[in-house]
Amino acid sequence: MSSPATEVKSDAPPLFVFDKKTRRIVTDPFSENNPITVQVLGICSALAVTTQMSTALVMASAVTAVVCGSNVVISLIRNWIPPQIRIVVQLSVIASLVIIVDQFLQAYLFDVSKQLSVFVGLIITNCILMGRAEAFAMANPPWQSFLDGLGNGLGYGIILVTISFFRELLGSGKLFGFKLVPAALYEAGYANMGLMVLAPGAFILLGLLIWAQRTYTGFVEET
Amino acid sequence: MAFSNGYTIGFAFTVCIICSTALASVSMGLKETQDDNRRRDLYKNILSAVDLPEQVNGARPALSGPDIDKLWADKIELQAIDPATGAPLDASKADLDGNGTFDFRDLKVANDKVRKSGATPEILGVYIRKDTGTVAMPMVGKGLWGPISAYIAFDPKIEKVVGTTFFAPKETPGLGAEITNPAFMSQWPGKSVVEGGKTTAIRVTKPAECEEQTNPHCVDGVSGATITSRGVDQMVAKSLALYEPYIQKVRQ
Repeated sequence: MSSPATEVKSDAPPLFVFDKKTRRIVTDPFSENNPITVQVLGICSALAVTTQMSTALVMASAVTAVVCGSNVVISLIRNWIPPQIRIVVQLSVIASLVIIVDQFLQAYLFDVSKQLSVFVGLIITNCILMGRAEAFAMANPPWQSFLDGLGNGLGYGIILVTISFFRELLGSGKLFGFKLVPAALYEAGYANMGLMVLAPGAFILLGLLIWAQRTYTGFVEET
Repeated sequence: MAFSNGYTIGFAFTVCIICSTALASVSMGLKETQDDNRRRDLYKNILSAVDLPEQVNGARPALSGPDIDKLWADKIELQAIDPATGAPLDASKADLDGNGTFDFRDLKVANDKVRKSGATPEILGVYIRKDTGTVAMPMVGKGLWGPISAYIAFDPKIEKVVGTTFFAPKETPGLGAEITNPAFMSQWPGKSVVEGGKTTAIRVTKPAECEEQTNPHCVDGVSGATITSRGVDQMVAKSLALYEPYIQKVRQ
């Protein structure tokens, strides 16, 4: 007598998957569905904090941390959130996480937090976070939601870092605060591009970036 | 899935409790580090007004937190002053917040009382750089949107400005907040607060009214920020008037 082969079959999908479909959750927002260049969200902070690479990097990490965290938390409780108050609940979660991140910045990166000033607090109103919570985390399990947050945070970060790279290099001749443009060049008549330090410079760069990226992916907005 | 009203209210309540607990514990846990940062930031600003740390190649070297504390302890002395007579005040009488020492927090307590009631402050204080005798005066005033403040450092006789640090946390970036810009602050060193043996304030206004290039009592205000510039002007005038008894004692 042989016991019948028992095959454990579970209906629940495995917690951590990394198939092609799941990987696309992370990689899509880098380019094809980038929150800034395709969905044109989070522009305010993208213009405000990109005069220097260090602030842009910290801002990008802060947004990534918050969007990952809020996506996971909201996804975990998504089946218990009463639909009538779901936006309020999402906002409470996001706001709490933003304040926590802000407190940590004030404790451990004081100078950067002084430069970012209100913009850390304004992450709360960054459309990317609410958008991902409402559109993705409310309908997907935590792991996928985490990856979605990671993808969108990094997609946002790539654009921020790219813009700040050009703004800091062209606007102040520095990268991460280190002088890169040699003094000899200044003596030969080279001048920093003042426009890049101001908001219009960021607008122009962002426009060029959106143009380049949409030409590359062939994205056309529906009219 | 339908949720009852009771469930919805209960859920909202639970979310509030959890969020506020999390925020309160993070805030409590990090408070000490944040306070250290703020204190050192203040130290750094006062130190820079009295030209410390020494500039290397036209820029001040960045110091770590403990180094700032050490430089502060080595070089700076806080002197409490009786506003009525201008005489030095015993530090134990100037301990307004009751934490056993006289420090910048006591000056803050005194300033806050003045801001609320408009009375003359109970104590005044100046920061003295021990090796050069440079005197840095804390000043508070009103900008367009909120308070502005400054540390203005004078030579030991309080006749000429040697350095400044301005704060304009609520002013409009690019306009009022430009008073914190090095270009504005660099106008101040060398300006005089004495004319004919009497204390005169430094005017912050348009060059048409007061030519800053030739007049040692004038500073060019910030274009497009008339109210903030006027606020700086008023702040310096009022503060110098408050310190007048002390200034007279020093000059004797």
